[in-house]
Amino acid sequence: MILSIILLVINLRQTETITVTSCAICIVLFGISSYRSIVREEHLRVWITVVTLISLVIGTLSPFLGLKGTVAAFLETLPNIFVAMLIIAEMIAFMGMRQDRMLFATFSVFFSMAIASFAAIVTYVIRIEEIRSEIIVNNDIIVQFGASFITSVVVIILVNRIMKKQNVRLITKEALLEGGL
Amino acid sequence: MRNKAWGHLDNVVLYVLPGIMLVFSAMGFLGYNHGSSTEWYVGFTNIFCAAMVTILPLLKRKGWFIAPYWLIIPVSLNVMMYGISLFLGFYHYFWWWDEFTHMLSSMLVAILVFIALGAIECHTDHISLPKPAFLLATFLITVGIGNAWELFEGAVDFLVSSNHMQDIDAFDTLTDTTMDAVGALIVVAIGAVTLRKRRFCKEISGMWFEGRMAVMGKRWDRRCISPDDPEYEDICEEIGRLKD
Repeated sequence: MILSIILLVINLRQTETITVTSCAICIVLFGISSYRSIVREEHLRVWITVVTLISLVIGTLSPFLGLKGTVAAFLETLPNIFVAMLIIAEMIAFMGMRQDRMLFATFSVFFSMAIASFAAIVTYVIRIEEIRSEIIVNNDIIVQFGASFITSVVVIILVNRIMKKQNVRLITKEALLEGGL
Repeated sequence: MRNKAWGHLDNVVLYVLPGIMLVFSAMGFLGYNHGSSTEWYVGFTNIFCAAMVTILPLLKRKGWFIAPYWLIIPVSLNVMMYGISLFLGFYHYFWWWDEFTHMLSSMLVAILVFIALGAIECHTDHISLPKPAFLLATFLITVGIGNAWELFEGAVDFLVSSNHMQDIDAFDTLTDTTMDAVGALIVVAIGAVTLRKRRFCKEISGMWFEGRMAVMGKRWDRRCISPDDPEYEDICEEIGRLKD
């Protein structure tokens, strides 16, 4: 949670609105996890937590590496799918949702696309002057949506393969809280 | 083979409405359209809309998803509204038209997502979507579909080599996305107030795809457990019984 707050501050200074959105969602999610683990001693033991943070660091670092255009769009939108999976993991662990692999994959891709939309709304709010002066044009937003969608589909195919190899059929609260996944 | 639920109104929806869209498409290709969109863009969009309008009636005709008229007609009119207003140049002449249609479309999509998730929830034992998760998923999936729509618009623009979507200011996509989220939020808020699982499942059953959904639900349950599980055989037997 602390790391995601630091990343949020860095991204806000850089006005990287895509990564800002992912960081903000992560802060809420990690906040819920921390609260639960204090009150009910429930710990979300899932690899997605670590991978999400790594992807957020990559997304944050990409402007510092001088990357621009499509490559930067792919790296900046990479956290979206992991944040989406983290949302689903928390919904399973703390709301009692149960899902199979197919529903998990479908939800992940749609949630990731929704996060890309929220990032666009954040851009609308934070960088309105750049939009007015046409530094940001419609094509930039569409490229980001496309990059987010492509990375989401690729990642979810890989995750689905891993889950298939591990013979995961149903993702339950118990599996996520006891480290079964 | 047609099912018993098929009526005259379904023929109108299946043949007349796509026909109207194809007429607008042809007129678009011939350059009779108004506003700033190119002829190709208007023509192809209206063809796409015509195809979209046929989906629900075709599913009904096959008996796979017998949607009630309260769902088919608003969805069809909504899709038509997009194509025809693009042809008439409403998006060019009225600044609020785009936002309004996006919110309306988003609300309809949210209702469809609501029904789809409800059908899964009501017909499966192993899959579970508690109320907060159900509502959150409806909201996020609807916003995700709105995102897919913007991607589709960009893709059509790229395919027909029109720069309509690419070179305009980013306000268009950003306000559309915001209105999608607003529309989804309205439906979710109404759903949160009115959702009672039993009544909702009864409503889903009334859509006449109960038999297929029951089999689908059991198949889904079967996929969730290992073949070594003793319950597996019971589910297989139940699927056979339901099919008969």
